[in-house]
Amino acid sequence: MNKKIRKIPLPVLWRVAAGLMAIVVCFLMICLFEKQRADSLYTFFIAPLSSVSALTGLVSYITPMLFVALGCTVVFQCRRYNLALIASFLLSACLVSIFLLQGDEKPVWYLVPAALIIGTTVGAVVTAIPGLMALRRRVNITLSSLLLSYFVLQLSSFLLEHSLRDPNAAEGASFEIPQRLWLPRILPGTELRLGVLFAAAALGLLYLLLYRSRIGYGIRAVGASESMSAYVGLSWSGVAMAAQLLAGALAGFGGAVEMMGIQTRYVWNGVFPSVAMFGILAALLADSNPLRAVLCCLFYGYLHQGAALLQAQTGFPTEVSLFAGTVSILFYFALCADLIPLPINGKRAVKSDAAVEKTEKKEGEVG
Amino acid sequence: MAQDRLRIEHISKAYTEGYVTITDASLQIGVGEIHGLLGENGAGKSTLVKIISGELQRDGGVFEVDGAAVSPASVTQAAALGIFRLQKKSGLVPGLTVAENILLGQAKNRFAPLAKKQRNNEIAALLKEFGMDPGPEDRAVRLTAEDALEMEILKAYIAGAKLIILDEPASYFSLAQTEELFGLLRKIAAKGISILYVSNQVREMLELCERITIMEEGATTDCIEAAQATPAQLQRRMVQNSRIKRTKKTGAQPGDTVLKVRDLSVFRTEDHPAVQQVSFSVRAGEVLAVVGKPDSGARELCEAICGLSNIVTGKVSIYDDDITADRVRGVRDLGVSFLLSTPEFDGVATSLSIQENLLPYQYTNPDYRNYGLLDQEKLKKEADRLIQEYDIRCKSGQENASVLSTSSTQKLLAAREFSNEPVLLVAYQPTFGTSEETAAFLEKKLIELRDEGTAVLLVPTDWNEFAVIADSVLVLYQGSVSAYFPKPVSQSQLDPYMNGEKRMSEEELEAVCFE
Repeated sequence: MNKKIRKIPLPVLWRVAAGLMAIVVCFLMICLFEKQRADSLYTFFIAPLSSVSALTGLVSYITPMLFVALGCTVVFQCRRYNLALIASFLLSACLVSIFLLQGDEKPVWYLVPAALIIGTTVGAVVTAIPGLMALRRRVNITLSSLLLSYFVLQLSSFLLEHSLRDPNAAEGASFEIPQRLWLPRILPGTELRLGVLFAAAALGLLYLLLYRSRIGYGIRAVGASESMSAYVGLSWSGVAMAAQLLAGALAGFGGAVEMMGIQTRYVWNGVFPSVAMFGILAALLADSNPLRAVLCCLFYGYLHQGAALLQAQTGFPTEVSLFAGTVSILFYFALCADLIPLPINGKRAVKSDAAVEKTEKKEGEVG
Repeated sequence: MAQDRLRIEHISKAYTEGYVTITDASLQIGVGEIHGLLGENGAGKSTLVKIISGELQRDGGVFEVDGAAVSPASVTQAAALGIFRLQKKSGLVPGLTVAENILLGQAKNRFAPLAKKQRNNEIAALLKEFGMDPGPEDRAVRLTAEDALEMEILKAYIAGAKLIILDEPASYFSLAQTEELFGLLRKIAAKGISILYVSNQVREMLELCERITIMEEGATTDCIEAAQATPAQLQRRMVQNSRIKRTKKTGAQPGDTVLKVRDLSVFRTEDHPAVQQVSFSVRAGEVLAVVGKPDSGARELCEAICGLSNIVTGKVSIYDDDITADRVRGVRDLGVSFLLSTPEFDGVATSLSIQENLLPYQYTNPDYRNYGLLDQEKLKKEADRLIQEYDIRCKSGQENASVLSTSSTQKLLAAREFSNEPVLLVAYQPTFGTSEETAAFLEKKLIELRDEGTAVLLVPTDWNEFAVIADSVLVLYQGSVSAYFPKPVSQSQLDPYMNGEKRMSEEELEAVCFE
């Protein structure tokens, strides 16, 4: 057994360990705070996987998250830690809601594509703001984008209060988006809508772009070493801006998809920021690889679905999933930085190349 | 001298990647003596200094401090013995004040806010004693490079140094500051602290040091009293047994003028020029070597041509295309390649694969694409070909570039730049830090490139490289041209021009401006 484990590359083990960590956290929280433990554990861990409808619900839920995660893989590969993707997602979802609700009379063939375009554009514009500030004024991109996200969060709740709010809804929520404007179902009887196909297409195209194209090479080269890319004459500022615009567009598209069939209303209860946050966590755990990001999104989506089912049943807060997710990422970082050795029997090179590389990456993150 | 502070005899160090081999080095430094270690680039001075300061371990030989045999295994252990080496780059913490920096790592500096005033007074008194400008409350980030170095000397002094080693400090010093530094060093030496001053600058050595040990090719060859030596004599000694010629070449057959530089000035800051009014040309199939002392501005000149400098006046053109205002991309598009790698400006991304590092131009070349996507097979083939041709040592091109040795990294850079069929190659110290074998290989490649008709602007790594590949010579002195020789000449002929003692007339210098 040990021999087999030792053949697995270290980063893979780290990821698995981080995932287990998230599960352990959820497990402990439920055991500590729920009275009917067995039932609650079943609802949390088994129910999300127990039926076809639950599984398709999971896939449907992670679709918008995956767009954000894919966007993150692009900017993180370019070593631009632009967190305005949260803002892109939120503002796009908010504006698309307004657009769809205002334009109720107009035909579907106009509203649906227009909403997707609006979402994409808004997303790209939002991420471009910290990008440009970093380029022109050398403002720390992580800081400015985080502040911008907070600003957009407040702005969207303001818009919600003043132009969208349904007075009959129990909590702060918009009017319901008419069903005719939702993206069409692709499998009758399930929650799978066209957005899933869009996500699959985006994944395929993004993979080709990153690993099989000139632009992708530029993005990875700029992320790997700015001085090397300057040396060979790559325009690192242009490449970095392009990467950020692309990422913002993806996140914005995700926001639009979210409002067209996955959520029935624009809700202000922390749901939306958590989708974007999960997207970022998934990209981090996937080490900015788009294919791995899908698996990570599925994992975090699974935790969230479990938490949502449990909340419906007993009122246990859904936030436990996001909490577990963040703990898993912190644990993953600690493993990468060799702060915590994995308890594997037998001697294993502790300072592997990958470990060194990871540490460097994290340093870059701070700077 | 009653007793030697430091005595090393017959020290040797076998070849280690990135360091010059030391065969037999001996050195005696007395108490309170300022001792010089003089040698060419690549003579092994830095390696020897690293052995003394505990960064490297010797293979054999005697190493005594104050008569007791020691073998420091780390920099910390050497510091405990009182041996401090000052880094070429400032080691001060930028955000801390001068006083905090000087006391950093000292027991006195334990958390004690109340003692701050007293501490500052002590440091202020010390700064005054040694006649230095900055106050104890100044932040280190505001200091000039020269002041920072002086602070480091004081820091070593406070930390109880017995021997302070300065490794080529004047290479980033302005002349006025050198005087100041020398004054400080003399005052420190008067307190009984020995100083080892490492440099390849004969003049500085004679001015400052009492005795000078000469190092050549990994061995110390002589120790002379500074009072009895003349500059010319020392310079000759330094290169007495220059290495056997590694490569032979035929004479150059210059063709059309490729690079034209007219009245080029490059500024470090707005009022601080590094290169002033430089004009010259490089023809196809010719290697023009630019030589000068470290402050001659050769590096800045290369950077300006490659589009890496910001403040530039004058005109630079490739054939008839004006590239003065172009950035790297524009310059490269016209067929200029350059080798300019230094620790600060890295040409290799260690987290990308060797192939990705090797082929940036192919990745952006439409010929290497298939239906708009990169043609992986063709790229791999090309990478494997270059890895083979340039003997880049790795298991495969898909490995991360971080596995490469210094020599292989330099070969990778050369492969990348040379394979691009450049019309002009700017090579700044192309064999810096490499093994002799690699250096010979790269020199051969450079000559091949020249024979294929590439114009080469070379800043030689050492005099041997200069002797092997240069066809004509341009001498820079403090940023302006002081001489031009259309034929290879010996180093002794160049010396007076490099030192600023002589300067050719304007008419003579115009000979290098071909149209």
